[in-house]
Amino acid sequence: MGAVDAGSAFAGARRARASRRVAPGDTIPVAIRLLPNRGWHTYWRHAGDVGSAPVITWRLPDGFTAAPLHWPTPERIEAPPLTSYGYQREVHLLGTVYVPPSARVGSTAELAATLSWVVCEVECVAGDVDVALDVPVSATTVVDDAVARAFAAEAARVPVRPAGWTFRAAVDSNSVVLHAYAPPEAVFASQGVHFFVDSAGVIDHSAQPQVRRMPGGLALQMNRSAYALGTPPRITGVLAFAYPTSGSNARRLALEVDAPVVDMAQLATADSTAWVALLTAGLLALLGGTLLNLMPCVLPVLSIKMLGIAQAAAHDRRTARRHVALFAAGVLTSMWTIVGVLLALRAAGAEVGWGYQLQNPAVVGVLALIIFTAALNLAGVFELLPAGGRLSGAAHRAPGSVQAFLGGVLATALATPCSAPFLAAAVAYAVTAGAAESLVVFTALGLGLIWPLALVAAVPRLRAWLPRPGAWMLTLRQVLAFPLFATVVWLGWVLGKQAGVNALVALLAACTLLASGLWALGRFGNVTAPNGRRRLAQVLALASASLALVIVFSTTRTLRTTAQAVVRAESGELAWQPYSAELLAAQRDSGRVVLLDFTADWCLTCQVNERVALRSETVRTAIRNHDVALLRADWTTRDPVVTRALAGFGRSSVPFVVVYPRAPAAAPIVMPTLLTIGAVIEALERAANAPSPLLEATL
Amino acid sequence: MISMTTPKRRSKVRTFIIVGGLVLLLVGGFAIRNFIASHAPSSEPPPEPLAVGIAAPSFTATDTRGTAHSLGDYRGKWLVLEWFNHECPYTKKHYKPLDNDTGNTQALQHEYTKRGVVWLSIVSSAPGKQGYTSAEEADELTRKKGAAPTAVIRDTAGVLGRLYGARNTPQYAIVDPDGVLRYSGAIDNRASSRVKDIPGATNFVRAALDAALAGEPIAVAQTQPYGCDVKY
Repeated sequence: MGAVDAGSAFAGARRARASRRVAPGDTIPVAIRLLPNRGWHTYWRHAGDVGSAPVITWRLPDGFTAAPLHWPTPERIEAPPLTSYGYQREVHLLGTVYVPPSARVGSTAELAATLSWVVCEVECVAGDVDVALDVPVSATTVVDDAVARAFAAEAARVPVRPAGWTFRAAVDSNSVVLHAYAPPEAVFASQGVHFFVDSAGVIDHSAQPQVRRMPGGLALQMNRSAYALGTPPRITGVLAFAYPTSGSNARRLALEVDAPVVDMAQLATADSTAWVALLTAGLLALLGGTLLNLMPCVLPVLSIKMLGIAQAAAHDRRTARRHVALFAAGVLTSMWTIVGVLLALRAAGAEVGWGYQLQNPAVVGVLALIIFTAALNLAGVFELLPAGGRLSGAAHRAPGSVQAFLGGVLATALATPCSAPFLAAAVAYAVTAGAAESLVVFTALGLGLIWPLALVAAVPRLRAWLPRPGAWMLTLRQVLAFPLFATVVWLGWVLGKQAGVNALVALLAACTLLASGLWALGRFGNVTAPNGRRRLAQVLALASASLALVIVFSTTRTLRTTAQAVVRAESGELAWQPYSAELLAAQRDSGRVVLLDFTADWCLTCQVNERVALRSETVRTAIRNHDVALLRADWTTRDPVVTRALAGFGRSSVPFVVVYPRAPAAAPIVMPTLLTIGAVIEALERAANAPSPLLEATL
Repeated sequence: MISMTTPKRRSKVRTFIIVGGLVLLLVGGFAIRNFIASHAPSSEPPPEPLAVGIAAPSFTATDTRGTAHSLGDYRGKWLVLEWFNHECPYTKKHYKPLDNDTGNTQALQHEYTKRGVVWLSIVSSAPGKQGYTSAEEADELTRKKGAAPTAVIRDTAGVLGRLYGARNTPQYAIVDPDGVLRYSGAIDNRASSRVKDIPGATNFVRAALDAALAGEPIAVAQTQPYGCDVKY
C-alpha cells in the first residue's frame, strides 16, 4: 500500500485485509508487511541489544478499536558481542480491528495508521510510513478466500498461547532459570531451543541458553543481563523449538511464555521431579526389559537359558547361581557397551538411536553367522567343548562359563531390534538425557532382561518345577535350534533389504561354508579321533569361519542407498513417498493431511503395525477418502535426515507414526507405538476435520 | 577330568570379571566426565558493562581541538560521558529539535553545563565507519545542532568506548566528583526511534543529575542502553 525508499535501505510496509466487506460488530484482520532489503533486518516486539520494534499508531473511525499486533517468532541476529531479535525476511505483523455494532451499513470505514520502523544492516535507518485502508461496511462480512488462506499461513508463524504448558522462572545473581513443563502428549526436542525474552534487563541476549531435558519438560539456564535491577515479578517472552521439519523452510513450534518468578530453591524442588522422571524411566526400562524376554527375537535364547538352568539345577544350587550370574554379566556388559558406544557416537556428533547397531549391514551379517553357529551347535552338528563328550555332558555337567556369558551377550544383541512398547519412552529418555541417565536406564533394561532367569535360579521351589534332566533334553536342544535358524532367515532378509540380493547370497554362501567347517569339526574333531585328524578338523573349522566372515564383510561394504525408494513402492497399493523435510512442508502447504511413518526393516513391531493397521482395507479407504499424503522415513540404514526428524519429536526409536492435520497451525498427532485400525482412523478423521484455531480467531 | 577343568574354568571366570570391571570403569568414567561437563557452568563470560558504585576507569582522550582530557582533571565535578553517532537514528531522535526548538540532548547539555557539570560527547566510530568525522566536521555538526557539550572527544580507536563498555548510541555514563561511576545506561526508558516518544518518557540522565546535584542518591543507576551499536 505504501512503500518507502530510505537511502540504501528499503522497508516496504503494505497492509492487506482478509475481508472485502465487513458487517457491524465483526472484526477485520489486517496485516502489516515489512519487507527489508536483502541483508537488512527489522525488529521483533523486543529488539534486544540493538534497534527497536516497529510502532503502529492507529487512526480509526469513532468506535473502532484495534487489538495489539501479533508478532511472528523472530530469529536471533548476531553481531558479537551484541544480539538482537528480528526478521531478516519479509514478515507480516497481524492485527485485528473491531468494527462497532453502531457502524452504519453502506458507509466506508477508513482505517489509517502510521508505522514507525527501523531497519538495520550494519547501520540503521528509521522512518515513518502512513498507510490507509478503505473497508465498506455491509450487512454481511465477505471474506476473500485467497487472502484468508494467506492470513492463516502467516498466523501459523505466530507463537501460540500453549494449552497445558506451565512455566516457572527463578533468578539469582548470575543466571535466569526457566522451567517449561509440557503436557504429557507434547512432543518437542531439546535441541535448537531459543528463548526470546520480551523486555530489557532480564537475560543477556547474546548468550545461548543451556537447555536440559528434565522430567516433564525442559529447563533453560540463561546468563542474567548485566543491566538487571532487582528481581522481576514475571518473565515473559517466546520459547521457540526447532520444529520436526528441518531444512530451509523450517517451521517452528513457538510458545508464548508468562512465567512467575519463584525462589531458586522452590524451582530446585521442582527439579527434584527430575529424579522422579529418572525413576520412572528406570522402572519403564525394567518392565520393558522383562517384556523383551517374550519377544520373538529373544525367546530362543531364553529357551536355551532355561535349558541351561535345568541342567545346572540338576547339578547343585551354586552352579546354577554362577551360571545366571555369568549370563547377567554378559547382558550387563553388552548393555554398558551399547551405552558407551552410543555416548561416544553422540559425542562425535553422529545421530543414532536404539537399534543403531543393526543399521550397519556388516553387523547384521556377523550376527547372522553367530546365530547360525549357535543353531548348528544346538542341532548337534558340533560340540563347543569336545573334551568332555557332549552326550554325557548335557546330562551331568553345567554348561561352560563362556557359553553362559556369551548367551547374555547374544540375548542383548538380539533384544535391541525388538522395541517393546514400554521401551520406546525409556530409551528415548536415555538417549536424549545425560550419560548418567543413559547408564541407569540401560542397566535397568538389562536387569529386566535378567531377573526372570535369576528368580528361577535363586528360588529352589521354582527350580523344582523344572523337569528332571534326561534324554528328553537332547531332543529339546535340537528342537530349539529351529527358532534360531528362523532368526537367521529374518536377519538375512534385513541384510538383503540393506545391501541387496548379492549380500544375501554371500551370507547364504558363508553359512554353507561355515556349516561344512563345523560339520568337519563335529565329525572328525571329537576326542575319540586321532590327534592329527582332530587338529586338521579344527584348522578347517577355523579357516571356514574366517572365510565366512571375510565374505560377509566384503559384500556388505557397499550400502544400497537407493533401496528405500525402490523397495518401498511395492508395499501394498498405497503410494508411499520417501520422507524429506521439503516434501513434508510441500504436502502440508498444499493443505493435505500427512501420515509420516518412521520405520525400519529390522523393527518387527513396525512390520506388525504395517500389516495389522496401515495396510488394512478400512485404513486404506480412509487414506483415499481424506486424500492423505503418505511419507515413509526409512531407518533401516543409518540416515541423518531421519534421525534428526525423529529427534525433532524427542524420539530415537521406531516404530513412530505421526499424523499432520490439514490445518497448518495445528500440532501433529502422535500415534501410539502399537497401532490399531481404530486409532489410525480416529487420528485421520481428526486431522482431516481439525479447524485451525487461529483461523477462527482472526476471520 | 572334572578336577582338571575346574581351575581352568575358575581362571576364565576371573578373566570375565576383570574384563567386565574394565568395561564398567571405562563406561562409568566416561559417564561421570560427561555428567560433569554438562553440569559445569559455561566458562565464557558475557561482555560486562561497568558496575556502578565503584571507581570509574581512568582515561586520557583528545577532543576535536587537540586538548587532552583525563578523568583526574574533573575531580570535584560531576562528569557526563555521552556516546553518540550523528548518523544513527536513535542519536538523531535525541538531537532533533522538539517543539521548543532545541533537541532533547542539547537541552540537557545547556542546562547541566550551566550548573557546573562537565559534559563530554564521545564519538567511538572507527575511521570509515558510520558516525566517523574529522575534527572540523565534528565541530561544524556541534555548531549546526546547537549542541553545548564541554568538549567532543574523538575516540577513533574505540579505547574509551571499550573501557566504559559502551554498546549503543546513545549511551551514558555519569561519574561523581570522587571519580565513582554513578550511572550507566540509556538516556530514557522508551526504546524507540520516534521523536514523539520523548515527551512522555522518563529521562534517566536528567533524573540522575537532578538527584546528584541535590545531594540525593540516584534511584535508577543502571539501565540497558538502546539504539544502534557503537561502530568500533
